[in-house]
Amino acid sequence: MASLSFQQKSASRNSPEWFEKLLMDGARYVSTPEVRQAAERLAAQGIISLEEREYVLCANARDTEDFRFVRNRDCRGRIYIEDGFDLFGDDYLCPDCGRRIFPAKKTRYRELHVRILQQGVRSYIESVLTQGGLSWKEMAPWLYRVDVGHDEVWLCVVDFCESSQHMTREWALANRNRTLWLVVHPRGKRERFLQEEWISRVSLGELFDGREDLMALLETQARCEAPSLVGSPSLPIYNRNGRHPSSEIRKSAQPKRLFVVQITDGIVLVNGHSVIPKQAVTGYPIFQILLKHYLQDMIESLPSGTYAPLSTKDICGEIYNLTGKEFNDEDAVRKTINRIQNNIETVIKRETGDPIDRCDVIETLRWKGAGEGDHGYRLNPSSVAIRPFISSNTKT
Amino acid sequence: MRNTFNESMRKVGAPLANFWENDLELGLEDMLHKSKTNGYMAEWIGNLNGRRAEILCQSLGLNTGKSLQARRESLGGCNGTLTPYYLVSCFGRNQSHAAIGELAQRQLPQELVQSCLVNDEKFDVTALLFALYHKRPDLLRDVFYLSKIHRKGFARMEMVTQARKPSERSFHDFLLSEDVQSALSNADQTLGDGHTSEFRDVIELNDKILVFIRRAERPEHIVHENRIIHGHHPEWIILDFEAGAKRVNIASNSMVESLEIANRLAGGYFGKDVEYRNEFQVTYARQLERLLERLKANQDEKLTLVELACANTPLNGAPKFKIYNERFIGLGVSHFESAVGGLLDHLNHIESIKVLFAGKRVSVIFAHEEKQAEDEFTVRYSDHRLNVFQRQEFEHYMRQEYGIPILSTEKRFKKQS
Repeated sequence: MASLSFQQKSASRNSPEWFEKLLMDGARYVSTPEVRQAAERLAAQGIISLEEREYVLCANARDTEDFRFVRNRDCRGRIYIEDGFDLFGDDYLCPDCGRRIFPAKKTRYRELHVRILQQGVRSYIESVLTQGGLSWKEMAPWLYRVDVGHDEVWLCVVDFCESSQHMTREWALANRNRTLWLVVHPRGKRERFLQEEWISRVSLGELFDGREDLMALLETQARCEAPSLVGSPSLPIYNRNGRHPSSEIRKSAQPKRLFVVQITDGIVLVNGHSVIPKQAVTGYPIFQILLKHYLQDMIESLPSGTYAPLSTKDICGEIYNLTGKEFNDEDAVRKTINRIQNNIETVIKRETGDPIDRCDVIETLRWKGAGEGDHGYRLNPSSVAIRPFISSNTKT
Repeated sequence: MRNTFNESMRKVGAPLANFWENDLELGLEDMLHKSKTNGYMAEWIGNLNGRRAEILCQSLGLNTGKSLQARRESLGGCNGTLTPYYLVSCFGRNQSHAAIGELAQRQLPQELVQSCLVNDEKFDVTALLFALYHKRPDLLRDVFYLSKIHRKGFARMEMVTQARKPSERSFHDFLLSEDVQSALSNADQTLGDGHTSEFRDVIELNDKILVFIRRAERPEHIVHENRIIHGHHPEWIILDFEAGAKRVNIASNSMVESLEIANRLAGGYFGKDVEYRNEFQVTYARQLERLLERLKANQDEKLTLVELACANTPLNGAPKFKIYNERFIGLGVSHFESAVGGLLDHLNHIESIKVLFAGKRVSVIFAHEEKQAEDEFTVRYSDHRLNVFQRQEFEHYMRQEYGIPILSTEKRFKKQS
């Protein structure tokens, strides 16, 4: 299931997604250079108005002089700096806990407050249509009829359109789906539309940052076929005030701590995610060796607690057996295994969110000199399951 | 007053005023004044329950019958020897039950501890304090110190300076040496506020070394016999060193002072200037989404979602929004999400949540630290709401169940120049 809040993992903070996020009326964001840059571009087009305000936090450990006086150290209150108020006087109180605040000695932060300007949105859309050389007419407030070649396409801005007769499934079908639905609110596209694939929707953020092209979308819409087999319930296309009844609410995941290990073509996968890439010259043979010993112990039906760990020296010997090359660098083996353990933990946490400790796949048993008995590495018999790799192309 | 009190304490072999006032920070004057009011001690004895009366009688060597009435009567006859026990009961009012229970289990016979159980979880702490005092009065000092670690949040710090562990002595040995005083003097000199740090004690507990330092914090005044006496509010700085001082957990009211002292103590040990910084641990967005999904569906056996505070909500105008209740709010959150729009799937907009754990409301925040990628967070919680055992359980549970390393909301920073 795709993550909703982070569709693109590790997305840079310079990502064009900021345009989208900023198109929420009333939204407030901490003013970083990236946010500011994106906001100023939108403001320059007249689409949004910006108010930049300074604030201090009631409980902020960075305020080294003030924090000792904070009774509720979890207080999340923000105190906005107002013109004409005395920064050293009694003018400021925390809105959450009521504590007297002296902002002069506190760390200040900047926040951008966004307001959507409907007139700016209108001008932007109309200018894009005009620049594209299309003729258009506003048939109802925020509902445009656009001439694309010999065809007519409708463009509806769903956030502001009041014409409920046009914003229905029946009307869209009666017009052979020649309508492009444009949404301003960043949550609108995902949560507020009727969830049917034939409905063509685009967000203003996508148009603004260039991910989508309005002209191309209108042309595509002009050529599109009327949808078939769509049933006939009467449903609104868009729910301006909240989540559309048909939009998906995610189901809860079940906890588990079982890691399925697969090997294919020089790559090791854990729960379907690559943890040792093809180019890992040392990592892959080490994993193969650990896997081989794990399988041997399994064939011998040993109790899971007695699966033998391999020392770094054993692993060096096995690498020689496997590759025919002399390998005596025990430190390199140890470092490689550490790296693999960290990588497995990071990949599983990041990609699946499942709980995992670094020893859940490759287990480290008692360090040398830290006690009696075995020490070394093995695949963890209590949490690892081995499965052959099955290509998604394989027919069953 | 002090002389008379000391005289009477000497007679019964009890600690003198300095122990009560300075070591235990107990205001003697008011308590003694009350105890001398007519009938006050008789009433106090009359309110003793069976356990307390029994332990008192055993401690004072009173051979009485088994009835509570007989015990109370014989206790009524030994007013002078009861005074320290009365003070012990007053002292116990502000101490952590967890600390008293833990120390009693380590110091007292199991049968005695078991006899002080009120139910499966709770002890009669006053009875335990009587027994601890009887065994060794200075155990009360340990209770006093340990209570502090159960009630304060600890900033988790790690050493960022590369330093090799001295081979000639351990950190614990260093703390018991004279060198500690010079390290503290250096810290006081650097802080330059004219206050002196008083090294009170060092306790080794579960592979940790707890250092207790008392220091004047901020100016304060009190009224005494119609006169104002000016002084300073005392602050307790607790440094909980781990891993041979490579890590330290700091509990204090002040920010700069406690960090400076920790740096100087460790510097004295390693023989070079060292620096501790706030610890960060990465948790990925997917892990938090999974946690929140389970909390919302009430699928977690130990945690109950009881509060959610969000910014930039899907309501018109994107106002801030808080849902809270004394019980589970997941149904309300689901209703809001189905009617208006998503809340829990927009992690950047969640300001904080509160979960019920061990009957206490614990705040959890998903902090976005500098240099962390968009899907990386540091999860912090208000550890001062839980006692030390509950904290360990909570942290272990979060790591085990969700793979989430969770840190305290407490942080320490150096003074900004």
